[in-house]
Amino acid sequence: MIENKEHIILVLQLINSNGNTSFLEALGYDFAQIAKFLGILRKKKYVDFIKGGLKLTSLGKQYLDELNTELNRKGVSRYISPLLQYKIEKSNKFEIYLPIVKNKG
Amino acid sequence: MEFETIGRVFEIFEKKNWELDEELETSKFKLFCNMLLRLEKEEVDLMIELLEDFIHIDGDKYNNEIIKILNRFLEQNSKLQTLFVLPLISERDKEKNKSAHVILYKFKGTTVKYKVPGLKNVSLSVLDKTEILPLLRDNQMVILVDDFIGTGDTSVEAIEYLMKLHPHLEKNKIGIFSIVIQQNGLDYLTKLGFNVFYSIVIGRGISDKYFDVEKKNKLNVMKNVEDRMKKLKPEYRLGYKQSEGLVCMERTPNNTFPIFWYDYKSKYNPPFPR
Repeated sequence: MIENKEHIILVLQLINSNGNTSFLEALGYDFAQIAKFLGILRKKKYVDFIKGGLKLTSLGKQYLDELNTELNRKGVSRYISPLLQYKIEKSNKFEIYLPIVKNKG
Repeated sequence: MEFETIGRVFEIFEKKNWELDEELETSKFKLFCNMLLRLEKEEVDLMIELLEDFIHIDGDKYNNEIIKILNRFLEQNSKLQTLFVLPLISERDKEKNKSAHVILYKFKGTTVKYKVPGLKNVSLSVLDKTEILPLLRDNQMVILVDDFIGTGDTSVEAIEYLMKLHPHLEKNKIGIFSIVIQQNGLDYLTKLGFNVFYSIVIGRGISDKYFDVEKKNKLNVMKNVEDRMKKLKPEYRLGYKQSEGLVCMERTPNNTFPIFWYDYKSKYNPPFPR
């Protein structure tokens, strides 16, 4: 079940931009979980299932706006989401990062 | 996968009251969507169209179907006093454990007996083996039961075995009983003069639904998919004897299009395995 609000925003953005499920799959969701969540969005009238794709309703767009405001998203990030699967914890300023270098010898 | 595709599959599952089973690895929804990932756009569209017509009756629903058919059977045979029930099994399969035994066991159970009012006046005798069927008197009949009948070939073999053991048995005393039957199997058995009792009759998934160019195109799309299925036996192409079946019972009959059940060396995890 999709409960993480960042992920919910992503779903709504993807539907709004006629995207596909690959980003959600990369976050670890399977097709049944995605479908179940789409069913909930439709029940709440945030999404319409129409021929040719899924469409965000005006209520859905309003919900996306509310979530963006709640998570303090501004500017372009109200419309696109970061690739959360690549997000890493911020390092301490005294930590030194040593990249792995392959030995060519 | 496009949201439209997942939405269409979801709507079909919803309409058919099939569970998403999101917590299970064996979820038919997941396996069906995974199957679509291996296909081209035109093939995906065909599979979704075929899924709309797909019938899935699992073992939990058998009692209700049997009760429906049995009520109709008893209405048509109101003078019946004794009904013998045998598994619909050919001589070569007589020692095997077949789906017919599942139906036979349902007749032995109490649910069917209690929920079919007509059985109050009829003595039900469930027999495991064709050999032990006694000589039938007036107002006695025998039914051969199974969950699915495809082309009717196995049914004919089962009747031949019955007639071999009981040569004086009259045709009108024999009933064939199945939850689902293919149209060609029904036509074949009816033409041979047997009374067939069933709940659902199904046609060929593509050839009986589409016409002319559309039919040809869709058959070609399916054939292309099957060309890529490694080591699929030729007799199973488009389903056994080109049945083009779209059905899954407790197990999937080989009459169903193999894309739905073929699991080459357990590599594919099909949505409706056999």
